[in-house]
Amino acid sequence: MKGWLGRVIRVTSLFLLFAGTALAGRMALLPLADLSQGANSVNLPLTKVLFHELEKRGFEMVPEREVLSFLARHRIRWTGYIDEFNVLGMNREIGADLVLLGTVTQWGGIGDSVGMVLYLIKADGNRLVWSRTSAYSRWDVRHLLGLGDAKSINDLVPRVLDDLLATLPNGVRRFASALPLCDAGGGLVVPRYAKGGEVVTCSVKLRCMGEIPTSVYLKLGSGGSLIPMEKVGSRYVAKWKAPMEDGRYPVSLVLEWNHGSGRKREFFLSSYWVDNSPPRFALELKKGVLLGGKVVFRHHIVMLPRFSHPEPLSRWSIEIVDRKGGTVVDEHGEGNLPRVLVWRGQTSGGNLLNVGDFTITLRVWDRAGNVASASKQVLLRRAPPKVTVEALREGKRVEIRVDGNNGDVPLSYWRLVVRDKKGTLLKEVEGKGLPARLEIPANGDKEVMCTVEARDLLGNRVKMVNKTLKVVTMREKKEQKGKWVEEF
Amino acid sequence: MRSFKPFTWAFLVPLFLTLFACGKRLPVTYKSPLVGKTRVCKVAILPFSNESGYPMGGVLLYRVFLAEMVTKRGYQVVGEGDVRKVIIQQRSMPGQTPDYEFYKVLVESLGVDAVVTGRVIQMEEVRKGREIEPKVAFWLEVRDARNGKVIWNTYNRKRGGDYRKLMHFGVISTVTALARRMCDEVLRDWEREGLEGCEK
Repeated sequence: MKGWLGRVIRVTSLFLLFAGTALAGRMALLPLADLSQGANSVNLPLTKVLFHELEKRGFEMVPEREVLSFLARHRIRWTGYIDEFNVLGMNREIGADLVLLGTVTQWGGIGDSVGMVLYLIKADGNRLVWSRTSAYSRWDVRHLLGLGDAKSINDLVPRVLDDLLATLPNGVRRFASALPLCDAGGGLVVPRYAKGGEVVTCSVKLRCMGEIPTSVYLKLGSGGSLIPMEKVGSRYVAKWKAPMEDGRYPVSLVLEWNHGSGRKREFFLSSYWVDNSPPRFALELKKGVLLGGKVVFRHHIVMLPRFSHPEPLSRWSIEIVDRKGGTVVDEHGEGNLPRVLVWRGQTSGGNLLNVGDFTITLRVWDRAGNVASASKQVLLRRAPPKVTVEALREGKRVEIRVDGNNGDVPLSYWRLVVRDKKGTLLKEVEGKGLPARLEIPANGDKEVMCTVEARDLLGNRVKMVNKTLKVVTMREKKEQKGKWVEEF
Repeated sequence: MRSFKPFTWAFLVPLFLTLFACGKRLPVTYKSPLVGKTRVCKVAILPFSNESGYPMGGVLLYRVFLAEMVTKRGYQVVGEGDVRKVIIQQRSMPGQTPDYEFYKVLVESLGVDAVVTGRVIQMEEVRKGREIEPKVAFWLEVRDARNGKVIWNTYNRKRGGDYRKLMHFGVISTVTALARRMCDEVLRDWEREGLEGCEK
């Protein structure tokens, strides 16, 4: 009889113990983030209301002061979300098996609304296990004859909380994270893009709760070598030479508590790339005219770099030098190239250049520092064409001789209008190439009026209107030795 | 030949319009032609961009969508805090399109199969007589976490009055409730089109 009673007591105790552990999960409620007040706001009054509501419904809550103290200790300023490290930290430090966090999405506004979202995170596995959204406006709570209508948004809060908490699960097993907690804050691999053989440095600041790891290693690649990290100040640092082969190399952090004890944690930290090949590109020029294998322009030129395998760039530079080697433009930029590069024939200081032969060199550096360059020669021709006109009398004939050019840029159009002193049109001619000769009717006048217009292939243009031109004989021309030649 | 009386026309025309003059059904989901049924276990949701002008509209929709996705139970959803931690570690700028490397890091550090990105195009509450009518429009994209390529793309745009059943019944009068309903529709649509969670 005594043995039977003992067995009953033991079984009952075990059952109660099991039931106790199964449903003894403590819940920590984080202050509710309040979007209606901006990005960093919390709604403490509503948090208190929710806290009491949860207690009333039988949830075992972590006291509010413990939660606030944890947040302050860990400098957690935003409460709408929480990361794994802090969830496990709450489990370890304040015994929270569940973390309930939420956001007030609406509070007031033109619709007099209250909206909330709640999430429940289970510390065991850092898993989001439940969530719920609810929102009501005063318009939603209307009854016949206005009886029981919401007078203010505070009247909506119980309704929203009822809706939210109706399905909130209660009871999880107690959980305590086994290993000491550590997280890498500010893990930095420099450079992220390296050339083969270049020294790569990794620096990590560990956030630990409880025991600090005795050994900290870096694991390079999957199944790669282990590199011990040295403690330098508050950070752990390791240096190694990047492999010669191009590719991406993941870096994992290995933490060990007492070597050989099996207490070990490994997690992905960052990655770096090895890149030994420079970017491949060609420089294409637009808006110029191709003359004798060189691009000639008058107003501006557009430079378009064409990459065969586009990749992000770390920086670029453009240099324009004249024939004597003097630098007229030297510009640099960080990051990718602008979509279009335009040169308007100005120096870096803003001075306008008129004529010259220039070499444009564009250099680009990829993220690993591999440099590539492309050059093009361009000619700037901004001067107007030079045109000469003379009128020669030969017996009864009067011949107008027009000549002109613009150096190495051919003329594309010219036009000549000759009138007598009274304004009567004597001749109007146009053409594409010079020199040209044309006859006008001889009326005995010593002078004629000329309007000349000429344009080269680039669009440089000269125009002289109603210029008086003396009509001379060959003999007078020789005597004057060119004095009489009207030059525009 | 029998001719309809004006009264009959007055009845038939609105009836015809009511039955047949509807626009395209929303939400609209576009799928990559290479994708058949997609099985997703772990999902990370990247912060949504807000193009609506509604204060904190991106965060509001983000948190509502996250909550709805957790409610679906089929997916293991990574918490916002852990996603933000990776974003900070990778120094990814807000509003910047993440590169291939970013997705690789997401896979390696969080072990996700898919990544959801989104942008809020419209979010507002408009006074309409004595009522308040919320309006929400957004794009959501599901990307393959291995390479960041878009495999699903969904657009949804609704007003609170779209859910009216009879008189005032069914009308949604808050942005939060409307966003919740629309996110639910999108997730149902994805499920219908072949996106499956793995925890069922």
